[in-house]
Amino acid sequence: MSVATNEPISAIESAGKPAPNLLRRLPTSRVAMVGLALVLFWVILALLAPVLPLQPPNAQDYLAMAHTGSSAKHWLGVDPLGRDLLSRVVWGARTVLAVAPVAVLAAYTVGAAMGLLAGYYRGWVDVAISRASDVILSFPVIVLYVIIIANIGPSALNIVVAVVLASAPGISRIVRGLVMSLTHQEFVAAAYLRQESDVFVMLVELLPNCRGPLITDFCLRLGYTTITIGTLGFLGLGLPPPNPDWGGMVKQATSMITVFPHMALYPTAALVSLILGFNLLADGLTELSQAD
Amino acid sequence: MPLLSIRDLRVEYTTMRGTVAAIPEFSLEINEGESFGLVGESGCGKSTLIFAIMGYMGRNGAITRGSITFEGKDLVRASAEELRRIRGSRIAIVYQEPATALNPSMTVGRQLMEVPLAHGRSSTAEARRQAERVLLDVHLPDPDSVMRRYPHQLSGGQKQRVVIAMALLANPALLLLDEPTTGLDVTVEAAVLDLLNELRAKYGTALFYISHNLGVIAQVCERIGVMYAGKLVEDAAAASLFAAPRHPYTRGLLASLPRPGADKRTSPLVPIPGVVPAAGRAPESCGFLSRCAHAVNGVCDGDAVPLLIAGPNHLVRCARWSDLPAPPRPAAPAIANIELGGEEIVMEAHEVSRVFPVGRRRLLANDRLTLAARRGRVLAIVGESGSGKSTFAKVLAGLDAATGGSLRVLGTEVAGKPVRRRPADLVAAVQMVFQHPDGTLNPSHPVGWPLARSLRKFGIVKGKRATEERVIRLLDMVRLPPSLRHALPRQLSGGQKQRIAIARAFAGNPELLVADEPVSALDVSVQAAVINLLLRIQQENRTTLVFISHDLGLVRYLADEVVVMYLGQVMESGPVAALFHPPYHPYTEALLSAAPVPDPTVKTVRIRLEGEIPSPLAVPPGCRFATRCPRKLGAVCDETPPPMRAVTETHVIHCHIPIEDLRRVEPVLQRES
Repeated sequence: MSVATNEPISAIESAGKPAPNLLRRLPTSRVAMVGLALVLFWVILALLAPVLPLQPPNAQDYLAMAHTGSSAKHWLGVDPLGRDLLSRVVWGARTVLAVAPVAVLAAYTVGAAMGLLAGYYRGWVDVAISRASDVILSFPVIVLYVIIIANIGPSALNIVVAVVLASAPGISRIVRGLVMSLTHQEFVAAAYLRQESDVFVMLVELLPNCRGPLITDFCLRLGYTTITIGTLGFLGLGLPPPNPDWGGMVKQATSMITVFPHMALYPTAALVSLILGFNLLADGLTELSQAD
Repeated sequence: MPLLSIRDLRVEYTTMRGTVAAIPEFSLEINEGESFGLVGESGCGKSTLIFAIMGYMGRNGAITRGSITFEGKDLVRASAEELRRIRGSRIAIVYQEPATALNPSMTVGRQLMEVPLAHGRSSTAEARRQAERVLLDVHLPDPDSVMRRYPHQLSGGQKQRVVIAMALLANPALLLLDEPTTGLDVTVEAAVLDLLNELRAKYGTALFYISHNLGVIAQVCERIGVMYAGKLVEDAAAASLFAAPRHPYTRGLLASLPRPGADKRTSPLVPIPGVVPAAGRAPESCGFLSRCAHAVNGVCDGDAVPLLIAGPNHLVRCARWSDLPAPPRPAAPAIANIELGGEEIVMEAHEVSRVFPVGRRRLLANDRLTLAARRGRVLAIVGESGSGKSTFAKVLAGLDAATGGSLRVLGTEVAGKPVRRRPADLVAAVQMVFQHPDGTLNPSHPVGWPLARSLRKFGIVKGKRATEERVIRLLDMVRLPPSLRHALPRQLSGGQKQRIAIARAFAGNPELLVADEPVSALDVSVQAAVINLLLRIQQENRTTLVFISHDLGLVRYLADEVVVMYLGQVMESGPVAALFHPPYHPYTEALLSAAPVPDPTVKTVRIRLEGEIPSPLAVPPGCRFATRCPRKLGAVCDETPPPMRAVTETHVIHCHIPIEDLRRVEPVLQRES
């Protein structure tokens, strides 16, 4: 062996320690940690809802309707139908936290596939996908939701469909841009020189490298989707009653908002804190990825 | 009193992992009118030094000790207002990237006139006159039209001239140049270096030239400093540095460069083992300790070694400089006794064209290329950017398809066939090593992954165990430890990444390897190691290597045969020994003359090309080179494509000038006796 061509193993260390992965560095960002704490607070409450000593969310307490404010029995008071607000806020978290991630994941599957195809094949595939996205994006989102849900009726599945339609084009654009710059990289050429298939190149060589920007976007979209679910509930297009749903609770309270503001205040505060949590988490992740 | 005096400078950066001394201790003096060159590999602190002088330290950087005195004023303690005045008028700087130094939304004229106007010394008319005069000084023809243009309407070389003009407008006493020619083609680079020499003679400006390229420094600087791990390790007059380098690092740098007249058979490159330590990680006593072959316990690892006087105007920071053995002419290691491969033709291109339609026009990237490569030999393709050499590499590997002609690889016609349509065994037989270490490996997968994937796809081995063993063998072939297969690309140095890329290309036992500028992004010491490795593996496997490069020095060192390309066509081809002596094509002659030579005792005849390489969308109808040729005969060159003239059976020149005339040309490279 010729010594001349040998680089010592210690060279690996001096080439720089690996920057640990984004999620593992999370604790170094205070903003992200505050966001994570807010999100985790609601996740834990939602998970524990069945075992917490709460009133059943749909049980009506007719006696409490005379005095709807806070009491020893109903800590946050009751809603216009005499249902315990605390219980409904906690159970409402389950709705949001179950539907939002499922909807965003579904939107990601569709959006990433569209972006991969458009960015990889370009040409008419790109034109078709990009124009279709433009058409969808040019609808006011609320109108779009109303059209979809008015046609297929309110249910959790429809919220997912609505979120996919509204979010997929945006995700597709991000992925398309990332893929377009990645396809010029030499490791993609190296994959061609192994006769890898297009699908392999897209899913194994390209998609994993979109991870960084997509993690941040995912958190942001969880926030948006939470807003959407709240808005749909408020418009009466969310989950059908009597499911506890934060947006729906605000809607029920609107007619009495001047007399009993607490009925709208608590679900609104819940919504705000959860959305804030997602957004802070996204900010923190952006900050961390820029620090690289 | 020196013009610039840096004393005991210490520059620290605060990072997430604590405080790092990018420059632990640095002292230097530059006299008025002097041209000083500072060399060092990336990561040695050259740029940090520039930032410190200019006072652009960033939020996390600080000068924690020492002083920088310029014309008697301490820059470290100067107020922001004072600094601003000095920077604009007494010190000017030219950065590496001319494109980012100019404001894209302002005309060149306005940007130039801003300099005298901002200093409040002249009226608008006066500023305009000054700007025009300085544009003439940097040899930009028709200053009036240049003044009205925007930066994007100028070529890279022209932009760099404008930046130099802008720096000169302030009439500075010191001009800082940070790798000003690194992104430019050799012929343009040579012209810029000429310009710097000329301007220094005219204005008497002191130059502080920073570069990683010893050849470039040798052309511009009288005195050279060598920087390593944030310290000056050697400081000497140019001639004495090249003739009698004292520091082991300087010697290592010189030994890892191909010198004129040397080739792989007579004098192999000697790389420096290891890599530059990360900022602040170098030992206090001697930064080079871990890579030095002459390090001795008890001598080299004690107190910090000061700069010692090794001769008149020759300083060296090495505790052992006086008893170092004379640099040995190393016995050639693995690549000695090289056999010139076989006669069998592995790849034969006949009139291969690659034409890109651009609107209604045709971009001729490759225009009827005819060349051949023989088994086990190294065929180098040289040319400047835009010559079409990379396009041919892609066509050959199947990443692109030819639009005309015939391309036979191992007996199979592949001209119109991209890699998807080639038989699997042919794909394994023709592999490629790419230019950019950072793009060549997928950042998401461990480095062993592409090796295993290639082995599986090419059907070399089956089963997990066998693949694993084979991956380890491939790593061993490129001298990397087996444990490295689990590392991610970002944990590897540039040289290590290129080694993995070589291992990947050899996974399928290729018969033809296309290497497109495989070492141009690497530091010289690492470059030598990768070249040696590549040549050794190529020899052992009797692989045919098609080596694409713009570096004539390197080509002369490693090639068996050379093809010189210009604007999509072959200008000259032949055995390497024949190509570096007359008769040669005027373009080859110009390239040889422009290539920076890291040896001041070698004199080059000065031949400079006028203008820029024409657009491949509008090629000259006759000889492609006619528009820039210094030996142009006349109208015949513009109108008629040149004939193919055979010097010998293997040496061919495409030129109107008769061979006999070309034979009488004065050789470009001459050694002073």
